[in-house]
Amino acid sequence: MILAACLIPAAALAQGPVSEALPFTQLDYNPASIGMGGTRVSSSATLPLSGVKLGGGVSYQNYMPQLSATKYIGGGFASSLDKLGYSLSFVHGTGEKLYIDDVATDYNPTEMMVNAGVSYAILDQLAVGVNVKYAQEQPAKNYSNSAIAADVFVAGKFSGLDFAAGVSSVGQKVKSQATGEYSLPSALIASAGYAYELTEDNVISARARVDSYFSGALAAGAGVEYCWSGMVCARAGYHYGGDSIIPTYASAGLGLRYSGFTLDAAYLFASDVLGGSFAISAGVRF
Amino acid sequence: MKVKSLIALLVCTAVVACAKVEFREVPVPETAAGGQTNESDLIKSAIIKVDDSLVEILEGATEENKIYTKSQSFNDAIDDLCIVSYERLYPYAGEFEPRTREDGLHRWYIVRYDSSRALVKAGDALSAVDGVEKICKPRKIKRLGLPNDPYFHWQWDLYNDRSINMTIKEGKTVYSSNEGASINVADVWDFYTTGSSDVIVSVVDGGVDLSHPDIAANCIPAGKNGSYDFVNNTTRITGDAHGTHVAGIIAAIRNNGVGVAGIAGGDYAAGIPGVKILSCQVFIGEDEVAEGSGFMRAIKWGADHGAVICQNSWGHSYEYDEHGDITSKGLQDAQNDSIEDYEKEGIDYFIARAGCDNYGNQLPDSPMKGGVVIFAAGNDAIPYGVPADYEPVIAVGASGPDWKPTWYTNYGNWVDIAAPGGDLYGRGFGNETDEVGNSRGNIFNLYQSTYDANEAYQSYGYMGGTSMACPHVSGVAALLVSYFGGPEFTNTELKHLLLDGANKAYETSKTHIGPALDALGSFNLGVPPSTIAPDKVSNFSLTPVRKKVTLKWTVPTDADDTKAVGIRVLIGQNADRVASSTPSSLASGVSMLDFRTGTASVGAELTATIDDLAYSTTYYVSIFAYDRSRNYSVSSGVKSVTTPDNKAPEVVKQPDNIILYGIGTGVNIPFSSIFRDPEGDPMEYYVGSSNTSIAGVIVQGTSIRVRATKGGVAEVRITASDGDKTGICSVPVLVKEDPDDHAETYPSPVTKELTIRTEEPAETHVRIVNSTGRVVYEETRTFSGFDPLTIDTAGLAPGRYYVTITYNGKTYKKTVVKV
Repeated sequence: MILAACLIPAAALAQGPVSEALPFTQLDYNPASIGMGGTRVSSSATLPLSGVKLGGGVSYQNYMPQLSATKYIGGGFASSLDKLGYSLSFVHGTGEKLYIDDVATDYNPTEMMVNAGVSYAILDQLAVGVNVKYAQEQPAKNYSNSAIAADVFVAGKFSGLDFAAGVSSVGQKVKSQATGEYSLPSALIASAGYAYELTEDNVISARARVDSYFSGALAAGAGVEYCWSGMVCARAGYHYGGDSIIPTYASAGLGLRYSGFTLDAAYLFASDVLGGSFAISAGVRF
Repeated sequence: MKVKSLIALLVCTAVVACAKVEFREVPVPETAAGGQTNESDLIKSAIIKVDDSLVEILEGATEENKIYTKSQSFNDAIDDLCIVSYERLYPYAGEFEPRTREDGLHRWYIVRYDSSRALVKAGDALSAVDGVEKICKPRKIKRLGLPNDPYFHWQWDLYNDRSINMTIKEGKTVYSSNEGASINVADVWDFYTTGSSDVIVSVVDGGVDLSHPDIAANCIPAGKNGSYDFVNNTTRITGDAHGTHVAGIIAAIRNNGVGVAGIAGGDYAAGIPGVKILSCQVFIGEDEVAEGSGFMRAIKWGADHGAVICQNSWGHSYEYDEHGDITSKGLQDAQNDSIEDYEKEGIDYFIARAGCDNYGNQLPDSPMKGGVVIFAAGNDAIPYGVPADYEPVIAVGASGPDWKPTWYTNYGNWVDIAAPGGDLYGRGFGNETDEVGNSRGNIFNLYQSTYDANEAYQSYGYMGGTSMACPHVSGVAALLVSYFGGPEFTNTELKHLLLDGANKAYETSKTHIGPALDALGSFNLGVPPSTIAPDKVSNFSLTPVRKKVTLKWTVPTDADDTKAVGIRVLIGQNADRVASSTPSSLASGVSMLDFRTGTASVGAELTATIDDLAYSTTYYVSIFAYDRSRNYSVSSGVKSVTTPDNKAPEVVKQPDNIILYGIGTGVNIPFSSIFRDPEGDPMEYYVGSSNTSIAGVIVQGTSIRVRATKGGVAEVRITASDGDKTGICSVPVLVKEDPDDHAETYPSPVTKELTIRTEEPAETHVRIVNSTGRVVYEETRTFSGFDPLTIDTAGLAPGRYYVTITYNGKTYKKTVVKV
């Protein structure tokens, strides 16, 4: 018997990649921070030391438009009374329409996070804060993931120097339908900044941040800000992503302040993934 | 174990028996136009000999009326081969059962299987069964000397070997075709005549298609002294189905390799023309009723223009209801009806004047003095028929494939003879039908060339009725005149030969339609039987050619018949059994074949082929010569011949991998472009798909058509079989649902494995990032549609991921959801 079978070769099986769940919990939604390479820490721990009695604002971010843009809108307020600070914020992201089995659906994936924080100044220059957040994503119709997580930070401020350090996004694991449980992108974070007044109307700030993820990935960022007369600020920064959930990018930003009102914007570039992303926000503080 | 009865066990459904089918296969006989096969082509059989232990198992299953047995290996064969039934080859023999078992005949079984679903070759499946000792292929018995007209095997009316299944059951009554229920004309063709162009038959009927290629040469052209239209009084004959069918039964050109054989159609291959048809058209088109004035003129026209036989498939018309059944008034009219005087005198004229001059003397070129007028009895199932009941004419009733009167034939003592009329409208004997539903129990013959209602045969088709029975008598009458005709041969002698030579064994008294037309009986009535057997065949040779053996022998002499008219060949695989067999008594495992001498003379060397043999097998052959009275010579001795080994069909060209762009698209691959049989044997093809929901396979002519039904990859398998061995070719098929999607990612949502499929092999860069932009996977490697990249996504957390695929200078972006 002649057998001339043309069997289909076994498919090449690549080594499996790994990732963490709900990565958007580590995104920076603050244009003033993004413009400086994402070096600020978003924690209520900084509230009692900021001198802001009451503040609030809204933000918009168009993230990763080169691949598939997710548009985030957010808002929140914060307040500090004497040594106590508290905050409440939310962010909601909407992705582009999905294709399931190569068929376009009417569904846009969504992401959502609510964040509540409380902090206390244990010294005049040192405070601790805890944030609790609930994050949920619905990447496709009838599929959703959610988790509750917390951030704990210590913040300090001495003259022109400020710093914050803590742990971020420690919480529940997210369960897959078929392949087990996955951790959130938890990380140890340390951030420090220094402001130097060249003149009364010319202030230069520099800031750096290091993120050490529980996954082993290491990220770092650095940025500078120049403010004129406390009204106009220009920013620039660089973020090294490594294997972390946020890729490497460079950023530039602009801020306007007048009579307690703020308007900030940031733009990302030098990244084939994140290039073109931008964020804006408007706020008020008293 | 006491066995009371052994019957075939039918599987409830083939699906049950074939539950393990992975490839759904369709058989495609190479010779079948359009790849179409009927059911009987698909059910094939094999004969096996089993040991006593398996006998016990099979008998146990039979007693319990089950097809599955206690033998796992046999059950596997049931599934793999799709066995639909099995039964003892030699059935339970009652009082002779002990000696049947003593001789081991109870160990032979015939296994029937559905070849369209079989996954493996019968030999492979059955040889794997524990207890199967021997596997044989059923042999066919074939006769040489029958005409080569391709539709001849459907003409049971001329030669009935029961190859057409015409058995039906109505209530408790079983109707069955009997072997030999025909007009017994085959021997007449070999021993006596196939017709003579000196004999003219006038066909008083609808017009005969004088241009029909299967009868034109045997027709007298239209003209003032030839075929004539008595309806319009013109020389333009308009052929219709009825008239052409009737004429074809009598004189369709025989042995011309085309269509059908007429009874007296000559021997085209031997250069012998058939009898001549004089078309006397008395109907317009397909009208069933016509004015009678032209009929008598037509009958007389025949007598005046050389015809000595007048064929009439018509009769008086009465009143009928909407179903075509005669009404009570019509029946009363028929009972009171009688032939008109003008009709009598016209018929008398033909009988008296045909073949004669004005003085009543036989014309020198006429084969007979006087004429014979032959009429159909009618189809009303009544004991009346006009003008058939006029005593001087020969009235013909219609019999069926079982020798019995058909349900529709008119009957009575006035009916002189019965002939095959077929089962009108297929009300009976409809068990086997042709491609368009016609009962093969009807009579198959010519239609006019322009007839297009039956696309299966174009200018051929089925009809039934005494209209068809009548020309059988006319055809045999024409043969008798062809052979015995000449000076002094009279119409009285012809009637004597026809009617007294008929077969009275099947004459029924209940509904009398006369004895059965028997062509050979009529001829033998005129010729004394031979009493001396021919000499034996002094020498013969056997040459194996693939699965066939070429037999050469020399025609021996016969003391009282000049020569032997044929030989009977006994063949088997056991030398002793062949040697002990006689022409009339075959030992087990011995088959017989008859080959006719035909027109060859004594001393002539003839060649014939014994086919349907097995490869690599030794056969033993013995030959007996016989004469026209079936006196057999002594044996010519036993010789052996061994057929050669067989090589499996080869794949000569592996088809390219198939990419189908879009659902519903397809591609055809000719079988002949893939396979070749080293021995040149005809091949049957079987095709299947590993996933018909992705790539369906259908047959278009002699090609397989692969059709896209859903995106994905499947494997199409084509198997070529030469009847002994098989060759297999598999072709991967990629179906792309979106023709413009040159980089597919699936599934989405994904759980474990993500597959990325491009088209032709190319170095491809793949990058996957999560919703925040982290690159979770990035690699460059070569893969394709048939060799896709599969990525284990177990480590990826649920969420959105974006895939960019870059190859051949283009980048494709995809979104994948991990859940």
